[in-house]
Amino acid sequence: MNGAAGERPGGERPGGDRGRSVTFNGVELRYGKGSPPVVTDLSLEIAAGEFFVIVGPSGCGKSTLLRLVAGFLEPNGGAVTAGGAAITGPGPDRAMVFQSVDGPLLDWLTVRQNVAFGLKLQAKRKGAEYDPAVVDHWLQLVGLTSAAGKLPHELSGGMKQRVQIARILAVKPDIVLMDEPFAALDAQTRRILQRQVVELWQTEGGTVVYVTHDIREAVLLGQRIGVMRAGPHSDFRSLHSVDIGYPRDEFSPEFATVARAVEAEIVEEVTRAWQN
Amino acid sequence: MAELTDSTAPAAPGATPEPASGGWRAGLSGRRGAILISTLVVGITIGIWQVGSWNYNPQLLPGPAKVATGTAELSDSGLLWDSIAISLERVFKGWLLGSGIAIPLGLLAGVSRFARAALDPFIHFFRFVPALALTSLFILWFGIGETSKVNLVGYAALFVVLITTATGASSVHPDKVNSAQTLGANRRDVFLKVALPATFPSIFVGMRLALANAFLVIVAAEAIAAQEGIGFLIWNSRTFFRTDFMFVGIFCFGVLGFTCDRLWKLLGNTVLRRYLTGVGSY
Repeated sequence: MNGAAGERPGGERPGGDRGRSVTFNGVELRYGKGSPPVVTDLSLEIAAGEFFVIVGPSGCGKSTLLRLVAGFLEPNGGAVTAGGAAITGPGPDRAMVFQSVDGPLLDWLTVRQNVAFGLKLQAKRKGAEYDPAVVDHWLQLVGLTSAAGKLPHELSGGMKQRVQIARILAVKPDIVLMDEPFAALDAQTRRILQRQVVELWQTEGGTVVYVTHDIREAVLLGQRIGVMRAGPHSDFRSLHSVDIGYPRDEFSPEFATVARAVEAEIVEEVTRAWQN
Repeated sequence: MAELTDSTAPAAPGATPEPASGGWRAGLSGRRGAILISTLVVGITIGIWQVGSWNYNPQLLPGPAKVATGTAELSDSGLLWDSIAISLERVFKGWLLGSGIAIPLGLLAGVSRFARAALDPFIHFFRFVPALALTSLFILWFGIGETSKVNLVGYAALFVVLITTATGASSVHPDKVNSAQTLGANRRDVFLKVALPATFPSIFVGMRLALANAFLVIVAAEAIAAQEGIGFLIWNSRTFFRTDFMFVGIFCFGVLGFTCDRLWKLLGNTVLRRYLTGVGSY
């Protein structure tokens, strides 16, 4: 165990101090009565503005943790807080990017309208008009200006995920939850988008909680990496600080050292899961 | 600011490539080929029918020529057009009535467990009760006028639309709903801006199927206690042994049904296009 919350490995970010902390305090969650808990007595503190990556064998409850923070699930025991306040339900301060490429986007809205969707809802709540310039800004940032008038079914998988990212970040969430956002994409596209996510986090700020099963991706992105045990009754087995500056060189010896350490732990967990 | 490049764009943005011939859907490629085949098959069928009819009493099997004269006769007297107008009116009124009741109920059953539990027994009981079984009852209840006929058509349309709507509304991708919620959508927003438009394809398909049901039932509705309509024309022709008029009536249903279906599809391909990207093209 190393890497206390609050440290900023990986260098300072010009994006500033936006973001809120996330804490799990003795969290237990079970899907349905009688079934064994997915996670038990899980505690973790993610600092405001941190890029935290969760890895672990499949079925260990990685996505479950994100869904707890998003407010889609309520813990059966313990507490999950954002910025010190208990989470009572989903909200735009904790926006989520989903793995599914075809699910989350609204198929009948153009790229522009999809990006404007959250902004319009926010503006309506405040009784104001939304600012189309913000949409333009985000379309440009994710390189979709020329595709603004297209419907999602006309886009590639990578473009769809960029629409997801743009419309989530456009509402300026304090906490960005990313659930294997690039798992369904080809390797080249994934590589480019991984770099872009780091750049956006550096410029825009915010806390990022990122779930992946890809160890290379975890070391490439995270300031800290939390390794989960095989479920059920899962919790964090260890936390790794990644003290390498961005952008990271995946062929460097430091990178390899961290990746190897994380990999060894995951292999152990997967093996354990098979033996159970 | 991080300026991102368009490196994940597909190779040919916007271009929808024509499916190459030699795919697993065998046969002629392109629209012209399809039209050619359809026309050819229809022409051959009419030819066979004409030749075949020479071997039978025209009162049993009138040929295409005889049916054409019958059509001209009915058209000249104005009876044909009156029948078409009145039958179409009944079909549309009933279809819209049935759909108008079915869509809200279907949405309700799709999004609310409570509503579903309350509606399920009725839906799955009555959908097996054929409209034809209710013909006499409806006449007793709603009289011999238009109401009973429109209601009967409405009944026939109702359950298809209800079940497809409920299925569609209950199978909206959970990530769509969740993702809208994390963008700040409340329950009302989720229903109006996510669930409802996401259900349009199911409603569209349900109404298309229901339109065919409406045509099926109109014959029964017009068999009893009607003085006009294509169904009446067919039944009445029996009395005078005008088999050719029966054929005219039968063709009317086919042509009208076909035309209505194409118009509905056209609506889907134009006004509703953006909502139906997930619907196949059949």
